[in-house]
Amino acid sequence: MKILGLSSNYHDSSAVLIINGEVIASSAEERFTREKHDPSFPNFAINFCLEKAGLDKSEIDFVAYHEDPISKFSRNLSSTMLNWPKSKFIFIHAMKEMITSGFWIRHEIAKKLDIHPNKISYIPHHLSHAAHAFLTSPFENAAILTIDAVGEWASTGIFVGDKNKFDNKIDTLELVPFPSSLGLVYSAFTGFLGFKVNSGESSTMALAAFGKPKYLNEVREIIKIIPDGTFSIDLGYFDFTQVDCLPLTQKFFQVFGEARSYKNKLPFSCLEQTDYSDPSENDQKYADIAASIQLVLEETVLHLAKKTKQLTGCKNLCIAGGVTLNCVANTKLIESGIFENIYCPPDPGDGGGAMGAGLYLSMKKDDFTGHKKLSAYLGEQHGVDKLESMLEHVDPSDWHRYSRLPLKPMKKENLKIYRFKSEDELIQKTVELLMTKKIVGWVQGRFENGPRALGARSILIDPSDVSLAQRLSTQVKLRAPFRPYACSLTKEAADQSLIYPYNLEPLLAKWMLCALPVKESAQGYLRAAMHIDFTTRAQIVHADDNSLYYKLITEFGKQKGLAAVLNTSFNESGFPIVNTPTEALIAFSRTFMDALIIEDLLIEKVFHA
Amino acid sequence: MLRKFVIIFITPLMWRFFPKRKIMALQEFSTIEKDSGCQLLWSLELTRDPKDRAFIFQHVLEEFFHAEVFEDISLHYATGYLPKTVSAREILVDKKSTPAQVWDFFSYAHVGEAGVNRDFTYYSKANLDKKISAVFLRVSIDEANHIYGTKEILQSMTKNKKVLFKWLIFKSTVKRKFKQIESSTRFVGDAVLSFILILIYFVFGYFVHKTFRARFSEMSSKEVVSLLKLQEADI
Repeated sequence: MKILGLSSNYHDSSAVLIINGEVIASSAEERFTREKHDPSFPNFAINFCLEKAGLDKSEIDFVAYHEDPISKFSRNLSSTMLNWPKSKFIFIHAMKEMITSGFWIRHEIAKKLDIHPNKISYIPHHLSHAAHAFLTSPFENAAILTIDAVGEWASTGIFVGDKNKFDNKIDTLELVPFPSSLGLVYSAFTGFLGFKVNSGESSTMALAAFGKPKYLNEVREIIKIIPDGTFSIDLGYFDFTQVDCLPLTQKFFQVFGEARSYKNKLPFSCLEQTDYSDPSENDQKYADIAASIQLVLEETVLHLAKKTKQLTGCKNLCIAGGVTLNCVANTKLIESGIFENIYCPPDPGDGGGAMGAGLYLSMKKDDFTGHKKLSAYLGEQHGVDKLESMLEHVDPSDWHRYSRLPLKPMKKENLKIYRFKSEDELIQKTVELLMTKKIVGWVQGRFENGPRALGARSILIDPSDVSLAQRLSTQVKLRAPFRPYACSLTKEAADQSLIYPYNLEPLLAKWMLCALPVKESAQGYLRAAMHIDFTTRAQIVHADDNSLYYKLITEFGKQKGLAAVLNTSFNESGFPIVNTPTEALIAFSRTFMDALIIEDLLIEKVFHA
Repeated sequence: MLRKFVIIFITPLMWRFFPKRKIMALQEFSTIEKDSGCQLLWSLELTRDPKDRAFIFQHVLEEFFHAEVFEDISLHYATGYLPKTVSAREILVDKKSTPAQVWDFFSYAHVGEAGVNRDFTYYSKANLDKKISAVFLRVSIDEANHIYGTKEILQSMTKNKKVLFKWLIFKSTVKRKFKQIESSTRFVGDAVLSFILILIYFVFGYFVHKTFRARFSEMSSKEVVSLLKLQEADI
């Protein structure tokens, strides 16, 4: 049975192809359209999935969509009517969206895929997340917790899953109704702190490490933990009826002051600890607010986890939904010991909703036979012949004119192009580049599913070199210095250098979804990939996950002393992670990246003294 | 002429009195330039001649840079919360495009570049802030090169067949004019739709908002669970 899972119309539109219960291909639309968090219908992602499996659209049996637009409409209508007559702008905005796409999504899918509308199912949003988390997990039975901004009428869900059950493998136990939403509140604080809503939440989390939770009581007044195991939000602080402005009321500003302007740079850095100038009182205040909302989020997640445990009695937990991208909260959840094992798929946000919807339908159609180990590498792969032939005609002398950065003018002879003859040679050269303080773009195989770069579309450097990481931030990524980098370690190196909660390697570390403390003995090796609290967002690489990447890290470790590389996503500021070799070359040409390795092709900037 | 008049004389006034409009317009130019870069990126994957691909590559770099320049200048003037600008994207070329569709794309790009170059030259001459005028001037110079570049690619793709070339340009000119009319009528249509919706909002809302308040102000968890179970049963 061939099932296409889709998500669209909010953010991170995606498509996934499932054949006989197995995920064959998956991608976010942004990887093709170059529009970060692209919400548009995933035309390109669908085409890619079909092409990958060699299928024509007529061969698709069923389509699963990640939410029920009618239910979403009823929520929108109700929430605007509750705030009548203040909510006119949000009403117009929401209705236009429904009129132009929401209502007709079944028709649109049917038309685009040439499929009968009866073969298209709407899978409720939180059920899609729950199915994604549970059906891709290694557990036979588990509790499931989904925490999101909003999906139809709910913001949070508690479920229980049992793969051995014949009919309904996932049972809904509890839902927290909208507008009580951890995701919405965290996003509102993110906007208040001067970061982009639905994109800058990781900045709020990173900033939190620089503050003290001085506003804990104030934030606890907003997010109230209820003894029944859930939470509620004081809506007096928020105004979700406005369009094009922060959803905050005067009451919020009275407590927390003016919103931070995105123009003011924050004077915090996780790469300079001693000689950095003292932050102003105001800047410190924003860090303290970030620390407070982060701590309350963690408290609430733990509270929900306890409730989940109480309702299900399971020892395993699967988590999904946008909030579960918060790796600090995830770590607290692991450390709490409420559950013995915790799993989260590589794309737990709305993009992963497509996979969840598809898997749920597959389960409903009795096509799900227990999932094979999920790979994170489900995207497109490219050859380099076309790129190599193009490079003969590319003139790099103008590249510096088309970059925000003060690049040096280049000549053709400054560009070294070479095809590796073997995998060993490729690895040897990459290690040599890393050892000689080079910033290396790394494009290998199929791209990753989800927002994390996991060694298929990554930028790599030596993780011990702080000044190189600073160069990476200012000359390649244009990244705020308070945001820490992540690292990839081999399983053996991770065992040696990271502190595992309860001495067990967390499943979440497979896909960079938790932040683990670094042992003192290894801090020198990982200094550039650590936050100021000496934790690192680690990807623990096993030989069977990605053998080439594993080999590279291992060989680098032989030279350096610890098998670890600093790994950050291969993208320029404002763009999604690259997909094609040409896109990688664009990023390479517009930044100070030193070398680019795409499959077996090396492109290196060589400047002789 | 009308367009020239509007850009040179009306736009500076509008942007002076409505600064938010200026920021949104600059943001939109950024989005359009980025979109143009993306379309070219897709066309690059379909182009066989490595020389043409190298030219398109350079062109993409320029469009992405223009997008950044417009974004930077809009951020320079912006204050407070900045909503995201999303322009309706039309996919002009993709992996499944035939060679004829790729020709259509390049002829449309050629005509579009000429139009953009003309408009941006007008903007650079309008009495706008010096920083903004400088941006338009810089971008319009690049766009002038693109006019010739896209023409050369199209000629090379159509093997210098003059009649075919002229036909493609004619088709694209008509299409662009049609799109311009469509986009201005879309603006009118959008305004009409907003008006109808606001009427519905007040009339319908006046009668039903109390019922909604009574029914939905406190949805309990049990109600939401039962709603979800109903949806589940429908699958």
